[in-house]
Amino acid sequence: MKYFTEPDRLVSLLREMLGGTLITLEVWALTLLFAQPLGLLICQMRMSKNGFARGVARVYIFYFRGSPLMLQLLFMFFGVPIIAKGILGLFGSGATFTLDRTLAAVLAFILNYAAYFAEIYRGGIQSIPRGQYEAAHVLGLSSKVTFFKIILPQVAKRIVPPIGNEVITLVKDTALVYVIALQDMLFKAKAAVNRDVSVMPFIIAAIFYLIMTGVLTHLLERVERKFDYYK
Amino acid sequence: MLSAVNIHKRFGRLEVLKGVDLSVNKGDVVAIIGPSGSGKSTLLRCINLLEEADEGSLMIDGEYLFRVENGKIIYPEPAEKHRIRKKLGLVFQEFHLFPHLSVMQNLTLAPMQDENADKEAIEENCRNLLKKVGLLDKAKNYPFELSGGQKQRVAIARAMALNPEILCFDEPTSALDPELTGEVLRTIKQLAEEHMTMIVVTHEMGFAGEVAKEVVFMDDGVIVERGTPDEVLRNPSQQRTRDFMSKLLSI
Repeated sequence: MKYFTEPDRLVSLLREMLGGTLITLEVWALTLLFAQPLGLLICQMRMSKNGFARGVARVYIFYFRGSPLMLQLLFMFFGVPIIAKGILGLFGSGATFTLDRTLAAVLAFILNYAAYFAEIYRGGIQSIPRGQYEAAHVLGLSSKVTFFKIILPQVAKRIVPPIGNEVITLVKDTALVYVIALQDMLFKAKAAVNRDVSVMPFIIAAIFYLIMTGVLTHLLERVERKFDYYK
Repeated sequence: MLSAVNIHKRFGRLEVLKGVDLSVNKGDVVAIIGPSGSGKSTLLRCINLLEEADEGSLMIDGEYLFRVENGKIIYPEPAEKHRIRKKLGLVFQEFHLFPHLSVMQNLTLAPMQDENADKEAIEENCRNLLKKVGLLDKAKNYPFELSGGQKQRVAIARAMALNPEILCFDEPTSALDPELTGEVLRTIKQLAEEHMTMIVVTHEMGFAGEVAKEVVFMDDGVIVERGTPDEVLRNPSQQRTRDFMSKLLSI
């Protein structure tokens, strides 16, 4: 009840949590920005005629999809600096290596989400019927024109729903960054709950998440509607 | 105009084409008939380079589109191959229109890729083609808004938009409801009357008899019999052809 009798407390709590929301949004936005192109690259490798590239992509997807994101976060922040120090040691250097918390979190999320995006792209490309390629072939279209004018526009329509799923899941997954002590919105809420012995911060956190995912849901519906002009 | 010699095609251990010869003269319509799995569609796919023949050769207008030497398929250099390949058009059983493009865009996309394309002339030509197949009023519609028969007529117009010298049809009415086959067959017949050179794989015997100059009966990867529609459809000389025709009539 403290928050209602002392409005100053509520304001400072909201300010604190909005600050945490910036971390949440930063991890979210940077992950989407870089995981999509990386995912496309891995998708191309996964579908490549080159067996080596295909193998690398397979192992990549197996690891990043097959192990917990939390473990990958911990490994990026605590494990990578140890390995880097070891490698530097081999060259006779005593230098240490540290990763900024935010950078470590963003890197781990990018690598993880790229694996999922790669598989979504692959599913989209492989769902285009062979007849589309054959029609393009008998019309004498080059493989470049076939991909960019025939295949890609149809893939885009099909992958909006699964990509949308990931975009929304990512908002909530960012809460995992607490394991490397990055102070996102949920981290701040939890601290406030302990400090003030009130569930109000959790309720506010839930509302914040719902606002973010609500806005995204609405935007994604609009994107889907853009593709409604054909079936 | 077109001459395919000794075409063989194997899928793994299954030999689908066992040495097929086919020649088509300018302005002729050749109908290929035969039971399912006889290799008719595969022959058409080999001619259109959707499959690579394992043996044989194909000449269009006196120029090789491919020939197989020592088990290796040899094509002319890419630009030449592309030029010769463009003399052929193919209409599929399942239409394969591009769903994200309007009817007009389906027609114009391929001709517009030419560097020296005259945009207005292409659009004019495509409008004329749509008019010819009776679908000019659908130019702005998308494929999902059309009936099967309309889709197939658009597909025919799309193939014609590249001015092919030979138009191939792979069972053009087999995916259509019976009441829609007529409009597609009429369109093909109209092209025949304009002396378009055509190879038509079909199960429509009435149509084959009416439009084709030559009927080819295929079974089990070989050509069993060929001749005028009267010879092949009404008085077949081979037992296998007679069996096939009697099966059709007894249904």
